[in-house]
Amino acid sequence: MNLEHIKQRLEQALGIAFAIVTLDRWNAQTESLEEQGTIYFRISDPSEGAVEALAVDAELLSRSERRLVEIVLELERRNAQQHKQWPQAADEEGRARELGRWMADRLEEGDTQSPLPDHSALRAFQYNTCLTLLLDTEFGDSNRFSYKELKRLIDTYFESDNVLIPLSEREWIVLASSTVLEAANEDGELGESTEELVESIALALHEMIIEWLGECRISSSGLVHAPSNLLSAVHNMRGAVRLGRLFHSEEYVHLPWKLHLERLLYTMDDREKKKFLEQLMKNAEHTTLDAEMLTTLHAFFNNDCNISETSKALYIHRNTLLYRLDKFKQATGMDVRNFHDAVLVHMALLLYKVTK
Amino acid sequence: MASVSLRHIYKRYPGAKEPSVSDFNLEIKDKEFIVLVGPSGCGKSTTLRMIAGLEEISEGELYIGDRLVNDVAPKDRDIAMVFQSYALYPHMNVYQNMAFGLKLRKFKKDEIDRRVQEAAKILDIAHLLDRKPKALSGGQRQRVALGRAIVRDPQVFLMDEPLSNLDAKLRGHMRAEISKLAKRLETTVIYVTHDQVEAMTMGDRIVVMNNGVIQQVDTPEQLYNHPANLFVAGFLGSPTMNFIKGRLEESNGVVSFKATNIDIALPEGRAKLVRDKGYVGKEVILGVRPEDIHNEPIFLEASPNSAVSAYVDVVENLGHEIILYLSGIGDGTTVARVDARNNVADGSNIKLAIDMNKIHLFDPVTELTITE
Ligand SMILES: Nc1ncnc2c1ncn2[C@@H]1O[C@H](COP(=O)(O)OP(=O)(O)OP(=O)(O)O)[C@@H](O)[C@H]1O
Ligand SMILES: [Mg+2]
Repeated sequence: MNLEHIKQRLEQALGIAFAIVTLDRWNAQTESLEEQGTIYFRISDPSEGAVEALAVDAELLSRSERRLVEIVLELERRNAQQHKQWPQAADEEGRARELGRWMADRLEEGDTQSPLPDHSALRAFQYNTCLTLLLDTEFGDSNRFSYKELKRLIDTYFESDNVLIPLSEREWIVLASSTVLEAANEDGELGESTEELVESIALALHEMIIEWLGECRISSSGLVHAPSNLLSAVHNMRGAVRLGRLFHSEEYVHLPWKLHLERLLYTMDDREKKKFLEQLMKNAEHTTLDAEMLTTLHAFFNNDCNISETSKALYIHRNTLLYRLDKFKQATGMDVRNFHDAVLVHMALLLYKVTK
Repeated sequence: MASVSLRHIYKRYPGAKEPSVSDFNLEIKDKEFIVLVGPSGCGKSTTLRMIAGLEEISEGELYIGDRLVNDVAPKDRDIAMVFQSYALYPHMNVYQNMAFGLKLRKFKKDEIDRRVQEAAKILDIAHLLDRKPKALSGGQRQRVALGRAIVRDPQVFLMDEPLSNLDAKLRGHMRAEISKLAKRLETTVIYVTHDQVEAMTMGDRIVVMNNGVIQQVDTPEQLYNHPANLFVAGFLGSPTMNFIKGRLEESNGVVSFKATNIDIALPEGRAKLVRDKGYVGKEVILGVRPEDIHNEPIFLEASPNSAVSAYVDVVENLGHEIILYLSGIGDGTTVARVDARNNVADGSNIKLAIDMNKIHLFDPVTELTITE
């Protein structure tokens, strides 16, 4: 437990000064005790004789604040206890793998809520919010992705010392300083949302990694307070990669906040999916959804159902596009220029990919 | 700078019925600008991604220079890629974006600086080096993406539709820039596009693909004038080549092509060819490009044996030339591109003649040319 750090955090939060003191013994069953106008909060275990404590002027603390400080210290102590049981590998990679295994085990048990143990592998991110990413190197030769090489790449990319945690054979968690978002937002006339910035960082990271090591999928949870929320963030990112692989296999960056509809559709059972498709496409022949038609409809939806933008994007004449949309309408009875039909066809296309 | 050799390469995605790329064979010469072109889904990107090391090669051998690189990581292939997405590193300025790859490769600072400055000068972005990507226009970003590749001085550039996010005008401009750049850097380029204009104007040689299979590899002129099959003939050219189904018949030593409202004589050279190949009396498909159908009086007079008459459905005036959409030649619509000085009104009947030395004949079953 980093006592100095806890002291600083408490001082910041409460606006009062604490002192670190050592008491010869601890005459109480409680977490804190008051003596001559000073409140002492115990840090170490009283059974060990002398006790380390935080001391503060009793006048400056309300009862509920006193209770809260007790809770904070109790949690910290429990954390430290857990931490003690770790073998604590000597090298950075070993420690990162240790933490990764711990996380993988929790997630395996369905536990996404536990706070992270106080583990030195987390370094500065122990206390701060950080940019959180997940890399999934499902493709080809995962031997290319060694801890050392990936760490070097990522440190160079983010221009800082980052945390890289191997979660499984092919999954890596990256924690980077949130300052990278500020750097990305400089110079622009309009401030971009955090989500847009995270997306641009993830896309560029993908381009960098493939050029160096090979293909991978990337997700991000944006800014996360690692000790309390990393498990649930990783759970979300894994979910996003799974949905992305299924619904958007030819894209490689999958962000949880862009997959809402996919997440909803994923929960449908297979019979329902098939039924929806059959009813929607009942009149259509198999040839209706050929590669050209799929490409056309995707481009149409990606360009907000705008005819001229879509034809530009596909390099085709606007009449060619209209002709294709008419052909689709004749085959299915669905006119994608109509909002309600567009919604249904959009969902049908997503489902078409996963039921195919 | 290096040659690239693809030998019997296949790509099979798990679960797919057909391979996405089949028996791909190609010898790319050192410093050659090769364009892969074909319709959406034909396997262009897949081929490029195998060369880049982003997809495993299911079968076959890939050489860069004389090194077999099937199992070599992208970073060790000495290639640089520029993609459609070209995501610049958003938190770095232009200089850092370009320097990044060199920094990773542990180049010395002054060498990095020399290369970045030189590339910036070539690309005319020296005044932008301090800017972040957000503060750049689309064209400027594209240049930075190129710059990032150039500074590495790779043996081979791989580009996948690098211009498709730009508007039409800028695209035309960058097209010329990239061609110039490739010549100046004397490097091998493999360039993917589905835009035939890009292909025709940029490629030393063009590889036309369809359904994962190479259809033909040749220079732009050769492909345009001597397409090996119906697909290539129909893919290149705008408006596209006209195809008319008909039959070859011979009487009095003259071989003629006959279809609805057409009876036109083949010149002796072509007549001999089809006779030798045994196509007389058989069904064939005649291909003729819109610019090889004429209506100038001089041409009509000189070509009595290839005259046709047609009804003008639509006239599209492009200023220097007009496009005629005609019916009455064969069964479908025929398109002709004629000089704008020849006044033609829609709804009229006109006389035209086909330049028989420019026609193509195809076997309707194999779809291969029979006039080569
Ligand atoms: N990861 C993948 N898994 C399965 N099939 C794929 C994958 N990537 C591509 N394909 C399939 O391989 C074929 C060739 O795709 P490819 O992306 O190479 O086409 P392309 O010629 O680049 O098309 P476009 O002009 O649309 O970019 C397509 O049928 C595509 O659906
Ligand atoms: Mg492609």
